[in-house]
Amino acid sequence: MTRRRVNEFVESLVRNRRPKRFRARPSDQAIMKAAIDLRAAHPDEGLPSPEFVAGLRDQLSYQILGGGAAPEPRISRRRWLVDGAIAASAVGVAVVADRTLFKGEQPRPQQAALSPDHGDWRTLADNVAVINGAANRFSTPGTVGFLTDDNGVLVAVSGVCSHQGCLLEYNEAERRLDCPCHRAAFSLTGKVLFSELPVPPPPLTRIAARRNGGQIQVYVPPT
Amino acid sequence: MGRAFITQDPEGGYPDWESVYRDNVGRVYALMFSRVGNRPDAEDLTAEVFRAALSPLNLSASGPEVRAYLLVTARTVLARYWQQRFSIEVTIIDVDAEIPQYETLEDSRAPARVAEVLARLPDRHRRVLELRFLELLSLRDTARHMGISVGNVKVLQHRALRLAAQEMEENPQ
Repeated sequence: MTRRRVNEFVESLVRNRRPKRFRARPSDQAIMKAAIDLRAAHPDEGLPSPEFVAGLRDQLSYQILGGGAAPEPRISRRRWLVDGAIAASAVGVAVVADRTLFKGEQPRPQQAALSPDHGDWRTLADNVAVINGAANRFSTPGTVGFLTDDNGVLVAVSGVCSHQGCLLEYNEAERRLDCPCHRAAFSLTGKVLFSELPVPPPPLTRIAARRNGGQIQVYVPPT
Repeated sequence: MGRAFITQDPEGGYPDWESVYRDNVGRVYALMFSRVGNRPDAEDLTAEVFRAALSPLNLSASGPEVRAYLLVTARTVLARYWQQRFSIEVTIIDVDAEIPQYETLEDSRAPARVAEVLARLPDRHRRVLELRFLELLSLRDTARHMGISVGNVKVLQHRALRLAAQEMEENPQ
């Protein structure tokens, strides 16, 4: 019986909350759509908040330029020692402080985007050659990388380990990129999944990828 | 919708990604809100569209081409949202049908259409939907206004939505 779920869905819309996930039946579609249409007709809706517009702009600026986001605030070691001494008796608080220290001392390296001085869109393959969800290794004269079609969104990352430059291998079973030199692995979007290194390597460099007509292209240095 | 975000962009392309963003963030948000009906999801989906579309965007494309590309991306992002969260596609983006309104930034005709649909409903059904969706009253306040129990408001609202859905289906835009 999904009627209760549908009512909850409607209630979320009226309160401007994110509706909970549930398995709707095809017969629920019309009611859910009617509720959305009614909600969207409210005169106060339809414009994004200025905070949202500015926040997303900053995020995108970081994604595209590989920088520009405000770094996380650092906490000085001295400051932590003082706070830590006060909190030392409370174990729970001490654990939180310890994590805070770690974050303060070792800011997470951020993912950069490949931005050659002179780049070119280079064609890799026809659309059909890229299987959804699987990484495809590619190489151009100037780069090697892995390209993944994530439900229609193309993601390309460098195929060179960000630690010492070994060529990564695609681990198909785990859907990740493994480094043959040290125990380190990256997700198909370039995030560090794990590493044996005391300081984790930075994420893999992102490479811009796009569909152009029937072809898939990456933005790399020209031949 | 999106009135506050009009910028100078006739036929030519956009000079940089930021101008693409400024000119389109209001349009994409309004589109997404009209398809999901709540602010948090409309914001998330808008962000997803720009994250997916901006990096691979070819800035030498014309303005209309860039906007069509954003619409196609929005269609994919919305379809995935419905499939992953609710298993069925409650709303879709028909890119060809959407382009004229997206291009001209015309106010959506949706409010007028909703008013027509409401006008055709029986009094109590229309009243419950007005109190909930236009005045945004809680279930409890709606019950008080109508002199019925909260349980009855829920039942009445469900029936009213079903009737409204029928009206919308019988008189598509």
